[in-house]
Amino acid sequence: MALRITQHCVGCWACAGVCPNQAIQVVHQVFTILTSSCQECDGDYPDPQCGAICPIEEAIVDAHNQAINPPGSLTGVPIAVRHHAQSLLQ
Amino acid sequence: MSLSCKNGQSQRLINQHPCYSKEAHHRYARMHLAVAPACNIQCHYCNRKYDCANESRPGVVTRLLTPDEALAQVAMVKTRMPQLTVVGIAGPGDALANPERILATCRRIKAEFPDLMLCLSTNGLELPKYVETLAGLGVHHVTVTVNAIDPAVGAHIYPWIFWKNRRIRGLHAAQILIDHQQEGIARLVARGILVKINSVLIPGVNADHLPLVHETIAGHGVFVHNIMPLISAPAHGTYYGLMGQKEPTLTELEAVRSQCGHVAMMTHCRQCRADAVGMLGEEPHVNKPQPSANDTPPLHEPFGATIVPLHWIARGDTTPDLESPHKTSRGIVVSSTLPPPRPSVALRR
Repeated sequence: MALRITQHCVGCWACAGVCPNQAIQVVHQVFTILTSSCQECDGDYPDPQCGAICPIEEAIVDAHNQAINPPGSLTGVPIAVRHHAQSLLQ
Repeated sequence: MSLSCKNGQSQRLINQHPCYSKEAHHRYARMHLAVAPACNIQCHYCNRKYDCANESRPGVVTRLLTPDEALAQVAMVKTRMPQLTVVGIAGPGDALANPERILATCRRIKAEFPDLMLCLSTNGLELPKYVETLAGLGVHHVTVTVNAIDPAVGAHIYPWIFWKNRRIRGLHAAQILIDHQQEGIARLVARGILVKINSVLIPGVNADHLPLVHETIAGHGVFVHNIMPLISAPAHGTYYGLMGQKEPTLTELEAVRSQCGHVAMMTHCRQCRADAVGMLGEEPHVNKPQPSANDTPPLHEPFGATIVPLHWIARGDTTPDLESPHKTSRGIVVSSTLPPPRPSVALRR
C-alpha cells in the first residue's frame, strides 16, 4: 500500500512539505514516493496528504493506478475542453 | 493609513519601494526570490506549471532557489545594482505555504543585508499564524491578494484550498480563505507592517464587487490597493484561459478603479514574474536562460523578458515596433530583444 507520483507532476514541492512520513524524495527535480515509507497516511489523516494538496490532476495514483485526483476534479476544466486545448497546442 | 507611516523610517519604507511608490519605481530596484514553490490554494487564473521562460506574469519562474542560493543571488545583484532596495518573495507558489524556506531566507538576508527591505506576497490563508514571526524578522511590506470578501464571489475564483490537512471546496473554502485574509491584514496593520492589497479584476465575476473589497480593506488601514487586470491567455492553460473568461478592457479597469478612493491606488504595477529583477518594466529577470540553437521557437515573442503583460501586446492594444525598443501609447518600454547589457544582465544564468 503506497502512492506513486506520475509524470504529470510539475515539481511544485507542495507534497514534500505535508507528508507525515518524509516519503517524498526529490532527485534533480523528479519527485518520487518511497514505497517502504508510504502508508497512504492511514492512521495519520483521513486523506493522503500529498493527494490532498497536489494541484495537478493525475499526478498521484494509488496502488491500483487510480488517480487520487482524476481529470477535471481540481481545475474544473471539462475534459473535452482540455483535450481541445491540448490538440491546438500540439 | 497606519500610524507607522508617520515617522521617518516608515517614509523611507514607502519612498524606496518601487511597488509602493510611483516615484520610486524609476529610481529603485527590487528583486524577487523564487524560493516559495508550494501553494495551498488554487486560483482560477493560475496554472501551477510555472517553468516557462517566455511568459511574463505572476507565478512564473524559470528556476527555483534554495535559501542559500537566494542569499548568493542577493549578494550578486546588490553588488552590481546599487539601487537595489527591496528583496521580495512572490512565489511562484505562496510564500507562507513554504514557511521553512521563506523564514530561513528572510533571516539570512536580514543578517547579511540589514539595509535591504524585506517584502513578501501571500494569498493570506496562513497569514494570521505568521504575522508575529514576520514582524519579528523585520519584514517591512506584505502584499495580500484579496479578490473577494463575499464567499459567494470567492467560490467562483478559488475552486479549493488546503486547510487543516484537508482539501476543502466551494463556499466553505472561500469563507475560510476570506476570514484568514481579513484577520491577517488587520494584524499586520496593527503591527505596523505596510500592507498592499492586490486584487485581480475578473469581468463578470468580481468587477462589481471590488469597490466593496476596497472599502473593507481601507477600513483595516492598508497602505495601497492595486487592482490589476486578469491575464487569461488560453496558451497559459489556466481555468479562465481555457474557459474563455475575458480580460477587462482598460476602460473597465479604470471604471472600477475610479470607484475606489479610500486609500491610494497603485496604477504602475507591471504584474511581474516571481523571479523578476531590476526596475519595474525594465530589467530581464535574473534566471532568463541563454537561448541555444536547439531551442524551439517560443510561444510568444519574449519581449526581452520585460515586465509588460504580454496579452496587452498580443491582443493589439499596442502596436509595438519590433525592430527597436520604444514607448507604447501607455508609456511602457517594450523591446523585442534583450535590452542592451546593463550590469545586472551579466547575472543571467
